[in-house]
Amino acid sequence: MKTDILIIGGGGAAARAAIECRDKNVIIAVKGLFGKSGCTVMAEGGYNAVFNPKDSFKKHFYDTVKGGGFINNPKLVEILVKNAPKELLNLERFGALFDRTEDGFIAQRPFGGQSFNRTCYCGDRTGHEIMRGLMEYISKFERIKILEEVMAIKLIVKDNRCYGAIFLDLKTGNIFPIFAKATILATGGAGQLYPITSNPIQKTGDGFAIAYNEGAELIDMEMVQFHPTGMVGTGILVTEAVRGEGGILYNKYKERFMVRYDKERMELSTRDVVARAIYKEIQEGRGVNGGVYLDVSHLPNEVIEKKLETMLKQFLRVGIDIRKEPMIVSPTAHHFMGGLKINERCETNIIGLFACGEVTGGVHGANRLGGNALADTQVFGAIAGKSAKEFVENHDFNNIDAEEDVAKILEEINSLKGDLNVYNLIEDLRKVMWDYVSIIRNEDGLKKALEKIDEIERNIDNVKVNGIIDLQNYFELKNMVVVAKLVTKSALYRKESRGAHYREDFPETKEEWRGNIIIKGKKMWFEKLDYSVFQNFLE
Amino acid sequence: MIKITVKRFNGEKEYLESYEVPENITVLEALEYINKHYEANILFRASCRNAQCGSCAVTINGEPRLACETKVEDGMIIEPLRGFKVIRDLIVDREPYYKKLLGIKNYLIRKNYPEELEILIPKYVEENKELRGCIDCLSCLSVCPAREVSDYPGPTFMRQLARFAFDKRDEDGREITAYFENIYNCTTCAKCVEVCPKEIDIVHRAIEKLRALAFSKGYYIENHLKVRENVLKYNRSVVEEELPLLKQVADFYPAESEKLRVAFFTGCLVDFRLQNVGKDAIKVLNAHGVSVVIPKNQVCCGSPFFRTGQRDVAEMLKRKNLEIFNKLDVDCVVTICAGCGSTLKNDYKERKFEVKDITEVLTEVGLLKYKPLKMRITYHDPCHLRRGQKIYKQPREILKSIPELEFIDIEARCCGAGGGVRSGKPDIANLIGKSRARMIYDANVDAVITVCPFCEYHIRDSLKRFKEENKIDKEIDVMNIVSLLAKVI
Repeated sequence: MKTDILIIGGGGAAARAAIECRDKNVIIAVKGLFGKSGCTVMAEGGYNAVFNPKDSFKKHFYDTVKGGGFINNPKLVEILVKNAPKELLNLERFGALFDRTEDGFIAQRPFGGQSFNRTCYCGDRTGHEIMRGLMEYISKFERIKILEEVMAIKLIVKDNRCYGAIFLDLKTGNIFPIFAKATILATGGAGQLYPITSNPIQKTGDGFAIAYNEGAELIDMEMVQFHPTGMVGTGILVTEAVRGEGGILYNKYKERFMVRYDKERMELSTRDVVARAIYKEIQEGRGVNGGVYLDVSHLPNEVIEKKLETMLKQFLRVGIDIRKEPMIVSPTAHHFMGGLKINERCETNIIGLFACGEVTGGVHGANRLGGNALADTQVFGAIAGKSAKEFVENHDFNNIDAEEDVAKILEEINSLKGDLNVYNLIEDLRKVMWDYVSIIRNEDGLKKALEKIDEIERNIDNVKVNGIIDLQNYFELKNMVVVAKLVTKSALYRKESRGAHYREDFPETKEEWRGNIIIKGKKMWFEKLDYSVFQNFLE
Repeated sequence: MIKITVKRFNGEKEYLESYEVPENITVLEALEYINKHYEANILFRASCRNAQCGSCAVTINGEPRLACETKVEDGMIIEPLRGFKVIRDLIVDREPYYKKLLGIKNYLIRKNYPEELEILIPKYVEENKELRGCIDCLSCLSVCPAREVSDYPGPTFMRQLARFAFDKRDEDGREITAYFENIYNCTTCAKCVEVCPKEIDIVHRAIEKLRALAFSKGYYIENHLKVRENVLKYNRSVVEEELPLLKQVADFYPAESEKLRVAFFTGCLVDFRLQNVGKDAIKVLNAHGVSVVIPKNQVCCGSPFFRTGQRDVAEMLKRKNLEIFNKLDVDCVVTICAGCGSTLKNDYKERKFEVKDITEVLTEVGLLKYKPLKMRITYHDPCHLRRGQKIYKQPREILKSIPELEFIDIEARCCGAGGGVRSGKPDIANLIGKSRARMIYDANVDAVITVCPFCEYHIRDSLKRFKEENKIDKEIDVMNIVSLLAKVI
């Protein structure tokens, strides 16, 4: 199978990239169903964009880099804030529809960590609306083909150029290559590395792993954001909009505990502060059934029924009426700020390999501003698509083949004759990540985590594979182990606390650590970032 | 631990396998548990785990449900969605669905796109929001009786066409597309609404509104104009054949010991065709202590016109009835037609009176000690009663209280009579009726009981045709529940 541009992923970034390439031959290869297995369709809070004349790009930039602990790539942030409004207009051209104010302008609401109400939304299913608009628009273009339920298990890279990928067909078990002049990774994050996550089942960090395995540079991998409020038990994400509309956090003593952690912004503090606050309340014995209370029952029913419609229904389905009683919530793995290092054209260090959306690092720095992820998918999806389209004008296939790679994979599969249950290994890995590499980290724990991850890795060769699902789990586990090491090693390297990365043995943020940890193969290094790079945009 | 059964398919062979799983987990968690503990490698779809993506729809105990939000129960049977080719285990082929979406031009069609932000009033955005909430899980397609027997593509396609038709940015004639995609094959049975995990009211918000729009553009079914002529002449949707009930009965039938006083809304068929059913209803109500007021100048409720897009006539009829029934000094208005009851309850928003189906009234005032009746019967749930009014327990309660009556319950399923299909698309109505007739004959009953004259007529015709086509000796009677009760009071 050959194409001009191969896009791996099925969410908002993949869709937007495809739209930008629509006059080329495009294949979108999705691990689940297109538009359903990414994070975009589930995003509820909204999309940040400057529309109000009293707001400004400078403010949006500052909120983003401040929330990002001042280690964001300022050029990427500048691109994000300046292009977000334009891309929202594009979304409405594609068919999406955002809520309006009484006088017909885009309605915008407040979000944690922001100095202005700049979050555009569609009720509380903004991501769904965006995804529908994108999918509808894509269906106009014959040259965009969609392949569903195929998992990328290896990139085809020769002499540092990417020529596509090798896939496992999740319906048949076949192994097959797709050759492309340009490849765009839009595979999202790796929330499934943790036992409680808002991420879909497909998010096992495949993009990070297959790119890293071929020598791609990854940045900020220690920066994993836990959404402060996910429903205990089911993992249902309780959107930040709930706090934006006035939800209040209590511990088991009915104390409004945010006063201890951020008495100015309280429940509207940034996600990392809220997540650590809740985590501490739980760890120090002031939690309720493994969580804390989040209460909106004091709000008028009409506000809950209209603005928190999805939340109301989701909790009603499990027997809780949030109009009358509080939710019980806990931090939930939500977003990977780290990922493939890209430049302003979404190029990675591998020629012909582009990346956009959550699989990239550098845009959000140490922590992501609520509402910026949806904007990211559109702004950088468009840029990745444009860059890939330009790339294929000047590059061809160069007689590449993947027979040897496919043969190696088949041999690898045939040699799996062990007796270990791959599900148990995945569970073990998740527990390690939760215990040592989640919201509160320290050197001893991180080193112990690496030992345990190595042990799990040694056991992978001994798994039992009886069918397609076992095979999928096997490849996912391999990827998860790669990503787990990247996160843990990066977290060990950064001897400070910043943004989503909290080291209890180094609780302060230190100027000497303003910068990024980059990993490529076995090499890891730190690139310092001076505050002056931010001043250029802020002055 | 409890036991559940999963239908397996390996590409060639189909079979059932049972597994023990923990209680209090979702079906999705159970499938994961089975694959982990039994090495079953069951192929199924899932993504978000929170009813937001729609990937995990399967058939659970015969009904389409999302696996992620359905708790397991002992004895549960899990199968792939019906109406689709099965690829493996619980995975069905979605390609025909995608192809059809392309066929209906599933994208905003507009010549000129504005350069700046478009000013849109919030009311407009809100009105369309429900239609846009679809997570295309395909549950509605798997249960649509019209899709099963015809080229009608199914409810979600009509919802999507409505999403564009009522988006003022779109410039295509979506209602015309809907017309040529057989929107008039839909019986408005609302099974799609019942199974929709997002509770999108496709019947009212898509089917009926698209039909109204199509009608206004001149796209309609000829026979629906005949129904229109009937009502403009006679205030009834059917032609008078015998002396109407309203000319045979008095204005008031007092009960001996009055517990309740109701106004009797006869509906068209009872007035013009099934006068004996109407008389039985009065007799049965009186026997239960219910006095019956009968407004003689009542007219058609408008249901055939609400359903077929002729809203002008529907609104005219509604105004006439409101003028009459709003003034009556009664406890409620009683109906013995599912379509009338559903219309009065759901489309007469301005009414000042309560509306109840006769089975609601009887169970509320209290059932009598009925005489024994040695018969084997089943009950047909009219769609506009079971789903239009949420009434399905009351008729069963009544039937089960009759001594020696053997009650066989069968799956609720549209008979094909509703939504203007019997009058407008009789071949489609007959095909759906044939499926229902087969179910009734398979139940091996003496009679089928219902609470809808339209269903009564259509099932009687369908059973007759089925009997002739299959050369069956046995005759199955079709009765309104009040006609049955008249035998046992």
